[in-house]
Amino acid sequence: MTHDAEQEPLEAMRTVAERAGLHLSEDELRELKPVYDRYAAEAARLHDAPLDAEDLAVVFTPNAEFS
Amino acid sequence: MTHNNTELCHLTIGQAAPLLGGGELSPVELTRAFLERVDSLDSSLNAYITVLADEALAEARTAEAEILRGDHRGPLHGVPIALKDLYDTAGVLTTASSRVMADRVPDEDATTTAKLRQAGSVLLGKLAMHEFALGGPDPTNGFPLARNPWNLEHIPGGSSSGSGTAVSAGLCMGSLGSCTGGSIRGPASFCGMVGLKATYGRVSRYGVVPLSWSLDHCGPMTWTVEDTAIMLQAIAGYDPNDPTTSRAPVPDYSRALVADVSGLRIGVPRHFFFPDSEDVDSEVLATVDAALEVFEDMGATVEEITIPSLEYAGASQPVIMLSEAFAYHQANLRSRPDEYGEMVRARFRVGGMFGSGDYVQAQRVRGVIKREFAEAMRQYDVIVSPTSSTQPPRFDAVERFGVPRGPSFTGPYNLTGMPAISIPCGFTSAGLPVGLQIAGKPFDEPTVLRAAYTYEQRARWFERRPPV
Repeated sequence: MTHDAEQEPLEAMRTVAERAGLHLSEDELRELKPVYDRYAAEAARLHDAPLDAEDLAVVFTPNAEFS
Repeated sequence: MTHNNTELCHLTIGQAAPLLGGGELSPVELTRAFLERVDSLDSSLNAYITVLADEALAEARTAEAEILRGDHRGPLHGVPIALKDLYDTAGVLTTASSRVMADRVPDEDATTTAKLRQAGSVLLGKLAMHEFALGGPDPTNGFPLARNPWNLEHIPGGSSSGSGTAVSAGLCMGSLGSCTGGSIRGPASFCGMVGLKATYGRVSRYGVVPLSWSLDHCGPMTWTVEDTAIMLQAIAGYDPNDPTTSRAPVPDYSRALVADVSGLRIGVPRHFFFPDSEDVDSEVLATVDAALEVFEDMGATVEEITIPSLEYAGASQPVIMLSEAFAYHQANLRSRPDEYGEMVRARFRVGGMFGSGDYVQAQRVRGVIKREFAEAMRQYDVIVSPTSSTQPPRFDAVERFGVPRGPSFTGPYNLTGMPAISIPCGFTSAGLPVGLQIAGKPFDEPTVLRAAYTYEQRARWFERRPPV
């Protein structure tokens, strides 16, 4: 991977980190990248899940559907 | 009556209770035995962050006086316990194993702490844990790492690591853990003991340092199922300080301790819990399969079931957990990041980097998982599986940032809120414990306890103690 190709995903990470109010140095971003990539891949899977019209507008009540 | 210290420290709560209540065993003698054992063993086990020797002896003397004058409060009266160091204890350091809270002394008890005091238990001290209850032993966070009594080179599991170590090594009779993705059942499995994550809403979380509000659960960690039932009885119930607690009546859990599973319907989602994968330990799976045969032999029916959305549980749980954790920690992560260990700092930061769409999708997936389990539970009483996909790893095999390699077999029940217990079901060829997970319908802890108790009484793994 060239320096530029390495830099691009770090810049994308920097953008989302800044949005969260986290001002991370280049070293910190580089160190965080494997962890971030791993969880980002999991988060991406959620967007492929077959959810149909699954509605979020409910309070979490674990017993409601078991009675 | 004189007792050998090891003998005393290997009594279960169920065995000690009638002796204490009947005046045959002194709470002071019992507490002193535990304090001496902690003093002699804990330098190599690191289970305790804070030992409350003087306070514990004072509480034991009070318990003794109360019992002698006929004021016996029940099976926990005079019983020495210890708490994971995120349960608030008035006037006592409560660190969540983090430099961020290194000097934190709460003004009041957590509701569960107060309930255990009301039951007359004796608090020996506060126990080690993974920082802020996020799994992974982190050598960079400045706190000693609890070790597995079955083999000190291996982790005891987490995040309730000290609770697992202390109960298993006989350094307290019972403990409370907290669980966001498996932090009670994981160490129970790795330490060869019992751990119950009660139904979401069954036990108050008030005064417990949060990791993720919608996933956090509390529950007992003990040597036997009977002891778990005793501790659950003391801590369960509605709490006006925790709006998520349920007003549903608390049953008498001791009545569930009947060794009978004839007719019990057991579902096993083999597609998820028994995968053909190099990330899942085949010896663990074989041990759990043998336990399922025992259940069949005892009259239960065991059938394979399918919960398709389980495929997404491993994505949903961490996104919810880390997003909510970031919300709680964001101010400190910005202003004093160096006070976090590197594992927690990295993963909490990632929690802030998810998008709102990720969090919403994770909650929608959670809804589907919950519904599919609800559908399955119309036909089955409990769902049985391995507790962990691996044997307890060596400390030097834990990844730097603590992100687990294999699938989480415990996380799905934090998503659904169902009660789930881990009990010992055997040992690997390396002599390390294997845990069996039994999950039930919400608020049906009695059926979970009955299934666990029946297997426990048949298999009797509790008779084997770690070599410490």
